[in-house]
Amino acid sequence: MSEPDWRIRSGGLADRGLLSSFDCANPAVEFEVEVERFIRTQLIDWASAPGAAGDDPRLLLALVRATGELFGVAAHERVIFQGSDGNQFNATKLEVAAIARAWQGCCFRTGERTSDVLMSAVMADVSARVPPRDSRVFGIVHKDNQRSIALCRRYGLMEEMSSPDLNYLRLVTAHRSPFRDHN
Amino acid sequence: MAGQMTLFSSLNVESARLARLGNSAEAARVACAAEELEAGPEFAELRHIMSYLSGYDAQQVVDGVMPEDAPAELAEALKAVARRTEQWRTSELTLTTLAEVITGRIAEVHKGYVVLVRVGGPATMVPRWMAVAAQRDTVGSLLALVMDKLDDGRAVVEAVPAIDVDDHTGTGRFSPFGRGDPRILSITEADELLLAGEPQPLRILVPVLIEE
Repeated sequence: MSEPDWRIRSGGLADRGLLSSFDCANPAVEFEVEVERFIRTQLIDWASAPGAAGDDPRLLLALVRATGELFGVAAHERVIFQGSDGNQFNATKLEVAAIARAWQGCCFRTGERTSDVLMSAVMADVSARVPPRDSRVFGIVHKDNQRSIALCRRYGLMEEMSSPDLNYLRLVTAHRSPFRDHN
Repeated sequence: MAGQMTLFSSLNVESARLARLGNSAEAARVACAAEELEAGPEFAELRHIMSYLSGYDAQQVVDGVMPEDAPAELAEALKAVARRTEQWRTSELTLTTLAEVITGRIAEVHKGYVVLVRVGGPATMVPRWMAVAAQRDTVGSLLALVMDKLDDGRAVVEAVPAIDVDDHTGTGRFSPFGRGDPRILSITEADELLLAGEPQPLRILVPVLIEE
């Protein structure tokens, strides 16, 4: 079987330069600029922060196999939701997922969308973590970012939790309710 | 040309409604306003952006669903057209009294109904099949109910997809990347109920190998 047109690898401190020029935003769209700015200037520090090691932060880079071009960036880490009465729920926060502008809406020769390759890499990575991550994944998405909302839903982030801010949605993977009828 | 799509202003629906009620003069005036809107810059921009979409995606947009690969400019263009249409519509007493419109966000989804909460207002229950038909049957979706009064005891209610046209330019201090921001990880009782179930298996649509 031939190798795919892409490769996914974990990122680290040596990738600071690579990320510093990552171009994923339309300059006229503020919520896209916010994501690009985070990836360019903060993501490496986020992934390598000594105090966060226990949260198992993961940085994933999606590259074109033939050229080494960076077409996608994603990151996730372990978190714990805190309820008002002290209840806790383990989860994985999808910190960021972005496709380079030149590759947005594109497919590889074999038909896979660039966004599917990146999101599948995130989900595969979450599934493979040792010790195991909770398979409860959530992301925070700007309410006007329809493309990301659609992509999240495609990957099972169907449920909307309470909003952390008026302009953002908190989407989480679906759960089988313990109160739901199983007939 | 086969597969070609023509976009019309929703004011044409209002015009048809007026004509149905026998108000032909007003119907003609609203139809003219629709033509003006369709010839305006907002419609031109929307047409331009949609011309790059596939026929399927374009139909999705018309049905109120944003394709996941749609350009970000599409949402802005839709809002611009909606704002322009609403400006004209609300300035016309004939139209505002013609049909009552209730717009809100879906707050709860139940087996047979959804709960629609108006911004700063009361909630109302809507049959779930109506929300499904409008492709707005998930929590957070924006839905509008257009109520056409037939007489004092009867009305026709149409559920249509809605979009948020507000200009929330002030984004505040919140950052989705704030690791120490308690708003990101604090949850409500409703969230706890949601999270209490067993998480569904993660979706992996493309087999991927990750190199360390």
